Amino acid sequence: MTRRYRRGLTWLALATVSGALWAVSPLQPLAKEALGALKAREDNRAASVASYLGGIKATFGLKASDDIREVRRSTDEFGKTHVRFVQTYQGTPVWASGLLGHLDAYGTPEPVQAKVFPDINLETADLLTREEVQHYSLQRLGITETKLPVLVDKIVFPTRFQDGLKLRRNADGQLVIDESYSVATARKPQPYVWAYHVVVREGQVGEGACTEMILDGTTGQVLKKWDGRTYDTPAVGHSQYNGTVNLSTNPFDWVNGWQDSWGPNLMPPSGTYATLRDTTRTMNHNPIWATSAPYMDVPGIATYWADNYYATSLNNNSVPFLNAGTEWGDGMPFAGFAAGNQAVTIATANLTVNGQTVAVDATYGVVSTWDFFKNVFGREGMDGQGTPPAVFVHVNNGFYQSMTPMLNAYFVSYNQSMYFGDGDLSQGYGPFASMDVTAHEMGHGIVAASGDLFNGYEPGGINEATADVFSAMTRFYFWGPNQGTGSTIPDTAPHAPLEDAVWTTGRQITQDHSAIRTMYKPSLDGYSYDQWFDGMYLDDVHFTMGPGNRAFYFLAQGASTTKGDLTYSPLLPGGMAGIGNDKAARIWFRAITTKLADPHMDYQGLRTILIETAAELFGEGGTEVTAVKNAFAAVNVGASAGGTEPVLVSIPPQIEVGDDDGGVAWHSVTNGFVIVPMTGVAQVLPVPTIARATDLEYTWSLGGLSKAVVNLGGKIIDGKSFIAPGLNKKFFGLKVTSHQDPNQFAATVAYVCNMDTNSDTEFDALDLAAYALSWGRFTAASPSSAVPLVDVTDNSWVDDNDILMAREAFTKSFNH
Amino acid sequence: MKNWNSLIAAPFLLVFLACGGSSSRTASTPEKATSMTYTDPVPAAGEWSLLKDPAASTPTRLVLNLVGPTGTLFRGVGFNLKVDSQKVTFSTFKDGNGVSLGYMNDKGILHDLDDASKAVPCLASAAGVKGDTLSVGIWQKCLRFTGYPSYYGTPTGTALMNDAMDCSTTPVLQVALDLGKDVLPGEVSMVISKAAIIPNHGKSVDLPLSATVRVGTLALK
Repeated sequence: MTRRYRRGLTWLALATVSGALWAVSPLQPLAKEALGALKAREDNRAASVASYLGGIKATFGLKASDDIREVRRSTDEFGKTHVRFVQTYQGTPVWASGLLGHLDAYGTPEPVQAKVFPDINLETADLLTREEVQHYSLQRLGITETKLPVLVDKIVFPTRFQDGLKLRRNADGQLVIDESYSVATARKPQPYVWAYHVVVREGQVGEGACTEMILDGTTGQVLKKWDGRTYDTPAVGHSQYNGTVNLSTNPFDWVNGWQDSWGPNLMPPSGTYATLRDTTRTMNHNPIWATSAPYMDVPGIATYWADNYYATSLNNNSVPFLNAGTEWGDGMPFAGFAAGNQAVTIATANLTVNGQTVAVDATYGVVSTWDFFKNVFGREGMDGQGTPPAVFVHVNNGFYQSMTPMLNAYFVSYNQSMYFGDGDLSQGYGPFASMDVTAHEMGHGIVAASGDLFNGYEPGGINEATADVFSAMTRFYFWGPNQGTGSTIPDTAPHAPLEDAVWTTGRQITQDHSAIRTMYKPSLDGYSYDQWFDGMYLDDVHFTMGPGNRAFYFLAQGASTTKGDLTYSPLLPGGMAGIGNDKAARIWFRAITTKLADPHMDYQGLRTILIETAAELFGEGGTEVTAVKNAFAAVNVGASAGGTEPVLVSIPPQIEVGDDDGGVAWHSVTNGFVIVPMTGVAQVLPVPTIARATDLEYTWSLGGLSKAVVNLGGKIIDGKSFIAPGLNKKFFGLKVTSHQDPNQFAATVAYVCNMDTNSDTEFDALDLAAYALSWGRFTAASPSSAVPLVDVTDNSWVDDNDILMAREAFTKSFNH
Repeated sequence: MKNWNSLIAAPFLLVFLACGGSSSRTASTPEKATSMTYTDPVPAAGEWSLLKDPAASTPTRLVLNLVGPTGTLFRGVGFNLKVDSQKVTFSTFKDGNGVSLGYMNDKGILHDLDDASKAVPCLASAAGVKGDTLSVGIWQKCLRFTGYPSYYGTPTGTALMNDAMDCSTTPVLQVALDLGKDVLPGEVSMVISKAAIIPNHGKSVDLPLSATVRVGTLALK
């Protein structure tokens, strides 16, 4: 029996140099004048970092054909300039690479963090043109047009990142495969390929899907795809969340092509108007609008009525809020326009005072979060350069979902902008523009500007957790005793509008004031995870953020020693003391903004950079480092301070199928996705080859089938418990729990599918004929039962993924 | 599992050594085969055949072209070939850059000839070896049929793949065999255990049909 361990491969190609030389003593902030002088020399300092990195690039194994390209830079309150680079090969960026160089206040280079790929050796190739890439991108998504151009960047793609399965929850809360963002294909034999990173924005800004994909540079094959939006999860309740607030507005003028952009129906009423645009925080422009929407290329933080509220009447352009007076909004939940009134114009939209209310909430939330980062961390905006976000409210689900209300909010990194839905009071949710949501989205902006964390799997969970951390800290800052003044974050929030509104998300949005997320006990939502385990990454990032949220809470506030308490962790039964919000937030912020080199960082990586940062800020032997270790041990990431590493249970991505009975059986796994053929008679299910195999209890959850528990002594004892005659295909999950330590478990997902399409009790290459004949057909459209329709992924029609998975399955099963 | 096997095997090994060690025999070294000789089959009307590719073959590597019956249009073909793997082994192909193509060299005649959609996947093809058997299949995307859904922007009812191929002169694919190591001369069993094609019979619904693929005789010398 052949065993394969793909996930366990050692990445010899990866060079990481980090943190060996931590500061011996804690850092001290610079005086304002000294810091200003350093920032004025940031160009030269960044050049010095680039020169230094260029001089030591051989240390990372980089060759003459490799180079680095600056992405962004910032200078912190300690006078350290941090410059982020990507690796380039023959001038082309290498996907998933990242290098962070640093210069201290005295101009001395500091240890570098680098995730690079030194073994690239690609020949020049006849690549698809950008026009072809755009064409194929739409084809792959099954759409024919977009309102915005498809963004195309040539890259070098490490094929180890090829494929990826994403799960989502269906209406019943069950995990199902999310075909929109899953790719399962035969792994390319080459370690690197020329490729294109594309961003397909189906609708106008703020509307419809934004899908990012990696396309093979020569064939156009989709190698990876993911959601280009980082969402908050559904939420919230009331309309006027922040009471009466002060806003900064600017006069509306006709410069910048407004008039040209609008149709005649969109002409504003005559008169002089102010618009919701804050130039007190920044006078910078968001550079994306200069090309994609010139009429929005204005200085400051502007708030818009999203283009898709009534797309037909607003001519697909987002419009500014106009007000002839100085009072905005009415503090009441958005009631919408009268049913059937689709003929809204910019005049009627903006003269509806009720429609301004959500804009007031969103604008206040965003500028307040801006102030939080500036006052507490000295950060100018999300990227530290004062680049303003654009803020869109009244965002609906767009044409493709019948313009239904959006019960969500999201951040888009390519334009550093955020989008807030109106919610739906009939479904129990008000507008998604309360401070917890606005600060969360701006938190995504900090992450995006710092490390470009991949929006999926564990890095996606860390992204969500970090956004929640910054959101909670923003609320403590504004709802604390000093109500948004000073430079520290308090530990109490006496001005919170609702009980327990700082460590939870959504209480203001939900009409019953229930929480959507709870940082100290994420599993209270029924989906999120309180601890890390192998296989967690397959779930949605809004549930895999659980360990991050809980670890931060423990770090700041401590963990209980009492079983049954919501802040008790069985992984740290002795509990721990917190170090306070301010210290915890400073460690987290500095780690994310100065040490996040790996776009695919996992929770272990997060723990490492937090420990490094705690040592840097508070001393290596301090209680802060101890607290970070204990907080992460409490969520099953690493050892506690002075403790031993936990013995983890893990399931390798390659799982063998036993054929002890002489029957036909094989396996295939792609990122935890198991395809098991059904022979129609008997089926022996996969037996994971895992650490501590003699110690494990396998619990199978087979959908509608009977459940069974198999105790393993290194072999199948009851493999036939899962005989499922007549089963054509079924999705199921597997959880493996340690007998010795029930706190340790792992999980994966599998799909049982009958691949024997010609019913000759063998699965061979001849069975693929049926797949070819099914290709492109809806299962419901079958004109004859004699026609094979083989929808592997149960997506109602047979698409490219089904074909590729079948081929991969055959290859895996036949070649051993 | 590996440890268990070792424990069982060890006593048997000791017994064998004890017996063998007490005998004194001499044996002449038999002459090893150094080349393969393949005689092409003679297919009947309507049959497919695996013919030797003289240009691509060497004395120790036999490359076989799959050739179809004259005048037959088809949309896919596959077969299982069983050989005596003690004597010959199935071999893989590489492209011009040294990248492995696996056990089948797709000759590229099954594909969508429309340039505008050249990047649209259109072949469900694979080749694999399990024990003595090589299984290959190369199948084109399906033909038009009533009620066809819109796909990649293609209007309902439009064929995705309209090219049916005549491969009586151009082989559709190649497979290869390598001479085994230290094997003796003699005949090598080669059997097509099953074969199927998707014919181009012009009906609204195509189904795979059984087919006959003739294989020649292989001798090791």
